[in-house]
Amino acid sequence: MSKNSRPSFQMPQNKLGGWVLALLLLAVFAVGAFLYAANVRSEIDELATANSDSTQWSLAQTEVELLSFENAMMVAIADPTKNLADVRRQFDIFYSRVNTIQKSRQFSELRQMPDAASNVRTVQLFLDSAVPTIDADDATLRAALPDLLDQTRVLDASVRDLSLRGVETFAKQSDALRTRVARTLRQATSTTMGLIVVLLCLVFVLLRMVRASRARAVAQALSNSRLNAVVTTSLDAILVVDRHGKILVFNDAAEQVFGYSRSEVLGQPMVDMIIPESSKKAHTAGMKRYLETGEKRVIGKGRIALEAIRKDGTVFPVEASISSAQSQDGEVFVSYLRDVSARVEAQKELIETRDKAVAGEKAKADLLAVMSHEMRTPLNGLLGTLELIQDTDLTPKQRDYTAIMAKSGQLLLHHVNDVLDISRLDARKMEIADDSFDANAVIQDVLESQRPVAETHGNKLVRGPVDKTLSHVKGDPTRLRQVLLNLLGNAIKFTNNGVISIEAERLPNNDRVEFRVIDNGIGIGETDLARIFDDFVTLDTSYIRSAGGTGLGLGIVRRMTHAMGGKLGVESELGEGSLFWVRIPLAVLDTPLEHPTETEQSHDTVEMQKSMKILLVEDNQINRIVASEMLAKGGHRVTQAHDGREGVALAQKTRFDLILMDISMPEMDGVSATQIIRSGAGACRDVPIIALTAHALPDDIKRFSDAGMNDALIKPISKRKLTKILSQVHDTQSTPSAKGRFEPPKYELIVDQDALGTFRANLGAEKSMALISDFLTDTRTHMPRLMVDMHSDFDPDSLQQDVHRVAGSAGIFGAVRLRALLIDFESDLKSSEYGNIPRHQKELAAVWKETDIILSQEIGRE
Amino acid sequence: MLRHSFYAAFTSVVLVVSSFAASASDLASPTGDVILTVSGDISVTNHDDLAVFDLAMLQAMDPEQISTTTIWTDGTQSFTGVSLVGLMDTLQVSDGILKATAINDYSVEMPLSDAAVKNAIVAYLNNGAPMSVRDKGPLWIIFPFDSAASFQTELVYSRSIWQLDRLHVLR
Repeated sequence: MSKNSRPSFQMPQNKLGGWVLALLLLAVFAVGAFLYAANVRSEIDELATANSDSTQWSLAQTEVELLSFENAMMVAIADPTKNLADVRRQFDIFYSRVNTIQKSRQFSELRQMPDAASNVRTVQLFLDSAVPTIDADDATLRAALPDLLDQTRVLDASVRDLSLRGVETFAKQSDALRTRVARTLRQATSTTMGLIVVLLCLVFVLLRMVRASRARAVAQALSNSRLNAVVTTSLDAILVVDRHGKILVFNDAAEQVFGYSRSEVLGQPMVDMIIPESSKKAHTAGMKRYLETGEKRVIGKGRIALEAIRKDGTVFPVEASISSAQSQDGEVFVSYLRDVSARVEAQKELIETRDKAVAGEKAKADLLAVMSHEMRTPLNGLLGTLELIQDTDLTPKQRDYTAIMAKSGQLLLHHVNDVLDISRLDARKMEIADDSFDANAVIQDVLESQRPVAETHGNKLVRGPVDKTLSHVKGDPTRLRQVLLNLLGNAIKFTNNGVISIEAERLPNNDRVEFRVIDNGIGIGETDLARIFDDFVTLDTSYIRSAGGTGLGLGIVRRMTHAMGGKLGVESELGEGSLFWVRIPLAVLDTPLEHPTETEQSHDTVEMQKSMKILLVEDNQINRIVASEMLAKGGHRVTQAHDGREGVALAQKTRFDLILMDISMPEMDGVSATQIIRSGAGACRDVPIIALTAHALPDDIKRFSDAGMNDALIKPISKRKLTKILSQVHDTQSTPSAKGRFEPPKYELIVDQDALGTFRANLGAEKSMALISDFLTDTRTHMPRLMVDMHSDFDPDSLQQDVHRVAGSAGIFGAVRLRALLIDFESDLKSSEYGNIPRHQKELAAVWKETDIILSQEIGRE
Repeated sequence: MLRHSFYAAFTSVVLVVSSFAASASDLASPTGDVILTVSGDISVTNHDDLAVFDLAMLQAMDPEQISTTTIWTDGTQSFTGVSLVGLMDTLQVSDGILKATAINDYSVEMPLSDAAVKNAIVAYLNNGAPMSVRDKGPLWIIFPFDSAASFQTELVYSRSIWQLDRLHVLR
C-alpha cells in the first residue's frame, strides 16, 4: 500500500491534465473519423451516382438509336405502303436521347469538350431541321425520307465520335474519382487507426486504474483489518469520537475499562458516558474552544492525566493520549485511555512509605540532635559548678576527684558535640564559611592546644616547614581547625611516647593544600584501612575504651572535608604508624591579612582586667549562677535578669558596659530583646551584646548579628571563653582603632557625618547652620552646669534634666559620642549611682571639646 | 386533428374497399391509345391476360405529385402521376418483381418490396403538360430523388425508366 500511495496521492493534479488531453485527442479523432466517414460515404455515393455504366450505355445507345432510326427509314423507303409510325417513333427516341445528352448533368463534362460539343451541336441542328419533316403528313415525310436518310448517315461519324469521346471522358472521370476515394479511404483509415490507438490507450489506462484501485481496495481492506485487529486487541481503551463528541469506536478494552457494552455507547455523546461530573464543564468548554479556534490544549500533547468515570459511577485516574485525524465523515478524535488506578495507588503507597521512612529518619536525627542539645545544658551546669568548686579550698583528695570529674565531663561534652556535629553535617545544616584567614596560625593554634594532652601520652608534637602561601587564604578556619584537631587528637590517642607531626603544603599549581598528620604509633591494619572513616568504627575496642572515643571523630573529619570540597586518605602500617592526609581547596589571597597583635594565649594570661558593669540575661538558673560567679570572680559587677523582658527593662534604664544575652528564653528570646534594646533610645542601645547560645550555626550567627549582637559565646561557658570575650570587649573599648570581630561600636565616632548630612539636607544649609550655631552656644552655656561639683552645690534632679536636654539635642546634630556619654550619665543619675559622676564629667569634658571643634568647623566651612 | 385522421383513415378504407370491389369485377377498358400494357402474373385484366391503360384511365386514378430535380433534366421538375404501388393494387398485385420496359426497349427490374420503389410514381405529366416521346414520355417512373440520399443511387437512377410502355409482373 505504501508503495502505491505516493502516485495515487499525486493523481488529482497530473492525471486531470492527462484526462483532458486524452479526451481532447479522442474528440479530435472522433470528429476526424466522422468527417472522413461522411466524406467516404459521399465519395462512394458519388461513385455510385456517377456510375458510368448507365451513362456510357446511354451514350452508346445514341448510336444504336440513330441506326434504328436509319433502319426504320430504309424499311419505309423500301416498302412505300409501310406505316411511317415506326420512323416517327425511332426519331422521337433518338431525339429524346440527344435531348438527354444536351440537358443531363451526367454529360456536363462531356459537353464542355469542344469536339463533343460541336458533335452534339451538329446532331441537334439535324434534329431541329428534321422535326418539321417528321411532324408533316405521311406523303411529305415519305418524299423526304431518302434525303433524310442521307443526312442521317452523315451524322453517323459525329455520333460515333461523341460516343468515343464519352468513353474516354468517363474513363478519366472514374479514374480520378477512384483515386479520390482511395485517398479519402486511406485518410479515413489512418484517422480511424488514430482513434483506435487513443481508445486503446484509454482502455489501457482504465485497466491500470481499475487494477490500481482494486489493489488499493485490497490494501485498504488489509490495512483496515489490521487496524481493527490493533484496535480490538489493544490493552488500552480506544475511543473515537466525531466533532460533536459522539462515540464512533469503542474497543474491547474500553468495554472492560468502562463497563459499558459497545451497543450502549456507540452514537452517544462521550461527555455523558465517561467524563465525570466534575470535569464535564471543562471538557465541553475545551471541545468548544477547539472547534471555534482550533487551539489544541490536550490534542496531540502526548500523555495527559485525566479522570474518567465507569458505568458503576466510580471515578478513576486515566492516562490519555488524544489525537485528531481526518476520516470520511470529517475530523475525528482518537483517544487512547489507560486505566492507571493501580499505578496511582502503588505510587501513593510508595510515596507514603517513603514519607514514613524519611519521617522516621528525621525523627531519629531530631532525637539525636535534641538529646545532645538537652544533654549539654545540664553538662554545662555540672562543669561550670565544678570549676567553681575547684576554686574553693579543697583537700588534695577532693581536688583529684574534681579533676577526674572535670575530665570525664569534658570527654562527655566532647562526645555530645561530636554527635551534634554529625547530625548537623548530615542535615546539611553546617555551612562552610568563605573567610580570609591564616592557615599557618590555625596549625600553630591546634598544635599548642593539644600539646598538654600529647605530653600526657609522652608524645612530642612537631611542626613541618611553614608554607608562606598559607598565611593568607580563603576558606573556613573553624572547620579546618576541627579537622586538624580531630586528626591530631586521634594520633595522640594511638601513639605513646612517640613523635607526631603536622605538615602543610600547597600542591603545585593548585588551590588545594595538603595537610598531613603523621604519627609513629600503633598503626592500622590493611583490612581496616577502608572503613576507618565510617561512623562508630572502633578498631581495637579494648584500647579505644581506655583511650576514650565514640568512633565518630574520623566520620566528622570525612564529612567536614567533603563539605569543604576536599579529599582525605590514610596510609598506615601496623606497628609503624599512620599518615592521614587531607586536601582542601584554600585559595591564595592577594591582600595580606591584618594580624591581631596578640595571640589567644595572651588573653588567657591577662589576669587583671578592668572591672566592668555587666548585665547577664539568662533564664536557666544554673547557667546564671555559674556565669555570674565566674564574672564576679573576675572582679566584674553583674546584674542578673531572669528573662528577656526583665533584661530589656534593665537595659533601658541603666547603662552597662556589656550585656550577655541568652538566646532561647521563654516569652522573649535574646534576639527580640536585643532588637528592642538596639532600636529604642534606652541607656544600652550602643552597648556590646554577646549572645549565649548552644546553637552556633552560621544561620544563627547571621540572625544574631542582624539583630544587633556583636558576638556569640558558645555554651558551655568556661572561664577561659568568658575571659577571652571580656578582654576583646575591653580592647575594643580602650583602643577604638583596633578592629576585632565586632562591628565598630557607634560611639567611637565623635560626630556622625551621615546624621549631620541628613539634618542639613532636610532643613537646608542656612537654617541647619543657624541651628547648629544655636546648639553650640546653648551647650557652651550649659556645660559648666553639667560640670557641677557633686560635693558642694549638687541637685541630682536638675542635673539629670540638663543632661537629658543636651543629650536630646546632641542626637539631632549627629554628635553621637556626646549623646552616648550623656545617656550613660543620665542613667547613672537615674539609678542614683552618683559615684560615677566624676568619671562621666571627665569624659564629657573631653568629648565635648572635640564635638565643639568638629561642629564649629562644620559651620565655618559653609 | 384526431377526428381528421380518423376521417382520412375511414375514407381510405372505403376507397380501398370500393377499388377492390371495382377491380374484383373488372378493369375498365381503354377508350384512347393504349400507353401502358401490364402483363405477367396478374389476376385483374381487361384485354385477354393483359391489363391495358390509356391516359384517361391513369388520370382517373388518385394522382400523386413529386417535385424534384433529376440528373437528366435542367431545374426542378414537377411530375404528376399514379403511385406505382397504387397501380399494382389496382391489379391486386402486392408483391413480386416488376420488369419495366421502354419504347426504346430499355428494360429494368424492380422488386415491389423495395423501399424506394414504394415511393415511385408512374408520371404522365411533366410541369403540368403531357410528355411526348421526344420528352421521355408518355410515362416516366419518377422517384423523389431530392427527398433523400437513398434515392440518389445508380440503382434508383437505373430504375427511373422513361418512355415506359410495358410492365411485366413476376411473382
